[in-house]
Amino acid sequence: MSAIPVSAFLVLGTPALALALAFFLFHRRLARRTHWPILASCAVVTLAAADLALRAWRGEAWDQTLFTWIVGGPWSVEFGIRIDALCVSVLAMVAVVGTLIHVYAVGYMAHDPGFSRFFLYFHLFFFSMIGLLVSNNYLQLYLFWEGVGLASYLLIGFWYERASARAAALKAFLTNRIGDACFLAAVLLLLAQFGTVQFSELFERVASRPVSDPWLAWACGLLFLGAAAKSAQFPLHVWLPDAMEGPTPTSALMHAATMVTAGVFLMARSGPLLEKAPEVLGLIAWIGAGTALGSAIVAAMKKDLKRILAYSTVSHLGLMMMAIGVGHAFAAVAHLVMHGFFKALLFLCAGNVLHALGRSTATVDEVGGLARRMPLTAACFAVGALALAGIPPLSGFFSKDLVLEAVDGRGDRLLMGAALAVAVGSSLYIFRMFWLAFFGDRPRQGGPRAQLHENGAWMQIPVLLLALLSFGAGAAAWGVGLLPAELSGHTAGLGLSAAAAGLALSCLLFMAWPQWDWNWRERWPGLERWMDADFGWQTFAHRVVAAPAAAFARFVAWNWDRRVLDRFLESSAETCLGLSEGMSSLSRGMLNDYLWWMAAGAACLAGCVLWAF
Amino acid sequence: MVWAVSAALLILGLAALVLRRQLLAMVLGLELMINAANLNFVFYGSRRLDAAATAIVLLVIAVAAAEAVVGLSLILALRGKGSAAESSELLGLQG
Repeated sequence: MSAIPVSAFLVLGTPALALALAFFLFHRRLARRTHWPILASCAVVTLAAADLALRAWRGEAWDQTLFTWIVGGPWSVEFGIRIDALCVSVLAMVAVVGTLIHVYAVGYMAHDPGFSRFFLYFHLFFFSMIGLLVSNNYLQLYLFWEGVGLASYLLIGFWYERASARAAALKAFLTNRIGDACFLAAVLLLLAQFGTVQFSELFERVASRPVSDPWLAWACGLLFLGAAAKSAQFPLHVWLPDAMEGPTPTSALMHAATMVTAGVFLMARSGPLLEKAPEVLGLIAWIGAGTALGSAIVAAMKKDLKRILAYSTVSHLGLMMMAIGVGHAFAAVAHLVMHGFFKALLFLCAGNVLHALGRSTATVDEVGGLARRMPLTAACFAVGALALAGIPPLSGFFSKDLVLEAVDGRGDRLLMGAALAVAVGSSLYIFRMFWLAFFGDRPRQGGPRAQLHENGAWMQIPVLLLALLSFGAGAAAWGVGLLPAELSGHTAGLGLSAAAAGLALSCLLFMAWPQWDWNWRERWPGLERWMDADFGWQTFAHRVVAAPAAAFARFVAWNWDRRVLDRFLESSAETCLGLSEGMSSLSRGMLNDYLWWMAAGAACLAGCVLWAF
Repeated sequence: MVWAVSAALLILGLAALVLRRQLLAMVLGLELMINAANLNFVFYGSRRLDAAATAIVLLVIAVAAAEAVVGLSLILALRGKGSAAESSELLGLQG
């Protein structure tokens, strides 16, 4: 193992330095220029990540402890950097996609009064994700994991003057707290069981444990719950659709690069642990399948542009979890990377539309026929949609095929059927969105469209570059041998026919017969409400978890805080006030009083001296 | 007996200082206290033939004169501004 390269320190150090500089200097003095240090840091991180990727490709890997962070009794936790193939493949994607979205945000947020604040939050998000990726132990990973959670809370609630944004931010944060608590419990469990949380040491010690060790299964289950909250898997996926309240670059970053990928990365990182817990793996595969299928169906009926994409993310994360669950973390990470490219592209295209409309959200009913006014955005969206549907030779095809192969290899017909149904659904919902938003003025559409135009270069260039990546990244990775050279004709054919079926169905339902999208809603309003609430799960979670918790919080606020704590504090404050009033009469400014006290003090001193000698 | 006289002078001076509000009366009280000390010095200095005590008395008289000059001129200045020169007006030390 050679000495760790400078790039490894740069990827972690540069964003931290840029954040400090931006906060202490630019945010206060040059608020319109906060993006300068931050974009410079993005460029450095991208170059450093590219350097690391090239080195890792040559087979180099490092695991370096920098300093001892915590010492407690027999345990100690070090702070270190671990660079290996898994870390670098996600890191390279995060750096490239994150940088492009940063550039896009300069254009998107240009007229927002919170421009400077936005870039600070945004870069904190990016920095936390990088720190999470290069961590070499679970506790350090947890630290940055919380950083990601915090930054996502700040960004979702960025437009805090809107009550819905505040509620969405709180929902995201609290849902993630559940997962974070499970993650922390898992880390403590591992520390107690194995005496270390450092990946290399831990995985060595785990290797000697028998399969189905109950403690290990518990730890894996808890880790998965943590990952399920971050990566929006059932039952903790409820926060992600609401997270669309933030500015669109946030959604793009969150869905493609930084937030939701953390859970899948955690699962991939914990591979050696999961191997020893086959029950948990089966659970992960089935939860992933259920989430993927359910959210694909919901995505096909949602009206809000960004929510359709949000459910699409949940669905694809479900696919990744399926790949993890059948033991093919490689397929999951490959899909994670490709998904990062095309999902960022799709979100930025939606952002283009919203920015042109001058609004923060829009439904498919309010837009339509955009292809004529925004041809470039429409073309880029088409590339993203084809990649997401898995049409060769776009990037999504290669990674989705890997996932399908992995699931097929398990030999479970039902699971494979679910994966294929997700493939049909992906193609259906994304082309539904494409047809409805970019083609055909529909009879019931309203809203301003006359002044629609394409956006400036800050926003167009990142979109074009992402379109290029979505188009060619899969083929390039396959060409240079990063992805397995052998494509299975069986699964490729199945995947392709699933995508084609979805495409055909979307043409039939939303191009040839566009009224269908309203008609079924009018005929079965109850069905729409039920599906709109994730098959009733949102309502259920609200009634069973959120509402009782809120009621309990109100109870405590009144009976403990107001009645006990406040009363005690108020009475102690009153006592203090009375005492100080009494004391203040001693110093009302009368010379005679002071002289009296002086004489009394002198007499006391004299008395003491006389008594002592 | 002399110690009793000087103690009485000290206490009377202190009483004037603490109880009277007129600044002039307070300065007079101060002079009484200084002279109580001087009386002791003179008496015990002459009894023990200690020249240093007599020297201290001269120093104290000089200091008392200076103090009277400063104090009285402050009082005069206050009176010149139309003040009654009473301690109840001078509350600048209020905490």
